[in-house]
Amino acid sequence: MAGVLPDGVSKVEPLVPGSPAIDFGHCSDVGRVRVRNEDALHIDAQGHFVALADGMGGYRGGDVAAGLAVALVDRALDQMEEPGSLEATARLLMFTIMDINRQIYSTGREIPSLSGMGSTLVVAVFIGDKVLSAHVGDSRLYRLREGVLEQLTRDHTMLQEQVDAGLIDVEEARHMSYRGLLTRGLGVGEEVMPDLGCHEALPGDLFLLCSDGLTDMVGDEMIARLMGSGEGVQAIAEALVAEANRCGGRDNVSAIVARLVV
Amino acid sequence: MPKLILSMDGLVLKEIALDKERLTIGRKPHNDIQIDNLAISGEHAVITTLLNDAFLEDRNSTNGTYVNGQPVKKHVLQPNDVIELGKYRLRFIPEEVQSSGLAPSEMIDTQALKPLVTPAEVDMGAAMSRSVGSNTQILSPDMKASVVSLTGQGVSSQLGVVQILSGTNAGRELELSKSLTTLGKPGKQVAVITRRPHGYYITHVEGATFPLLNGKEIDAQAHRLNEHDVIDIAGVKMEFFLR
Repeated sequence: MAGVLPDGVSKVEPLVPGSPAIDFGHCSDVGRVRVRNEDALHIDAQGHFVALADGMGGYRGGDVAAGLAVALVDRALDQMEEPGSLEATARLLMFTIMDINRQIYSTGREIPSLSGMGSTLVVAVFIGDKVLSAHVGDSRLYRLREGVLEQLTRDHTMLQEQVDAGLIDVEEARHMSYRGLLTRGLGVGEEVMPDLGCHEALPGDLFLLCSDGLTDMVGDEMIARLMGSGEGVQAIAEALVAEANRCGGRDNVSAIVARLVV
Repeated sequence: MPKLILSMDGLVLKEIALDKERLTIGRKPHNDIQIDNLAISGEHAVITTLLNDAFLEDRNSTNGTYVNGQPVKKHVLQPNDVIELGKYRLRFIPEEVQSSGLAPSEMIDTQALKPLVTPAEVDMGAAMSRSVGSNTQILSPDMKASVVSLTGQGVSSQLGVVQILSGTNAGRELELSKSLTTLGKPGKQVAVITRRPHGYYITHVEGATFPLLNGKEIDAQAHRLNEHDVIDIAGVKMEFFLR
């Protein structure tokens, strides 16, 4: 996304008594190689959800696909009854993402200049002491708890499938050159199945949503160190992006950092 | 030069400059604006542009050509007219109202990203992109310069809020912190509230009937919202105020 983003932290007061308040920080940068930023972010302060999409394909198509993805997630979740149940929200996320896929796919086929456009998507919805995740592609959700960083989403990439199949090990995978090959994406096929997850979200936890522009440049140990620095979430998000650029910035890089306030 | 903004479901897809005297619209590839959707005929419509006047003509399409919900055969395009083609919308923007050259993708992003700080801190880039697409004021060249410097001051310093007055959501409040907030029901009636440096404006985007502002139908122009204005959209009443 072009243009400078307003910086700042949004503190969200709990909707459900007893739920933690959440601080959100974000940063998105075109990186040092690309001409255009085709990542799109959304932080919905009132609804306790965040979304991040990494667009791809065609002239300007990546921009449009990623923008459509986060805008349509926002629209669907905004209409949700609050506070929602985990089951109802998970169902809504599933059907919404499948529907967003169809819209991006059909629009890409109908408008020639948007042909082949697609996007990844990762969504996190905070409900009570849980966070629901839904994703398609290789944009990720991480949790940092007591200094330990855990990747909560599994990439939909050729590389991850090879690792899962035992064909290559994780260390080898980090040095492979064809990391970006997606096995699932929005707008790529007529139908797509997002992966859903439900994870603990306790006061003190930090969550990170990011595009591969971050994780391709910065290793997990450095991500954990920057997230565990004790700084505010906005400073952390900016530090992560700065580190990705310092390491080469070969792609658009985006990060949303959320801290559940103690 | 005049242009069209192609959107779907309230979301902008691309801008099309009316840079030829004759611009054809249809499903077949030879059309200048090709939309490969079955709701659109092979040769659906044509826009003839002379100086700053644009004329839309239906080419005996199967499903017809609609402007602002009304079927047309021949129509002189007015600022902000919305041409309906299946699920797609083409909004006509004449030359004078283009105060910046930002692309629709930048509009989407601004729409999607909610500003997280007090309005005074929003920068010029985000502020400028709001003016594309729904600015209906005619600007002379020297006025354009002053608009650019105005938008540099950031968004409206007060936050607009609508409070729902009727229906099951009565009492709920919606903060208009985004540069573009879409209200209503896609397919029935949709309006957009834009946030600009000097205030909030409502524009009708979709639907055969127009939303009501204080009991009167708004037309396709952007209307400034004032404190305690009552908006009636898709059967729901809401009140606008600033905080």
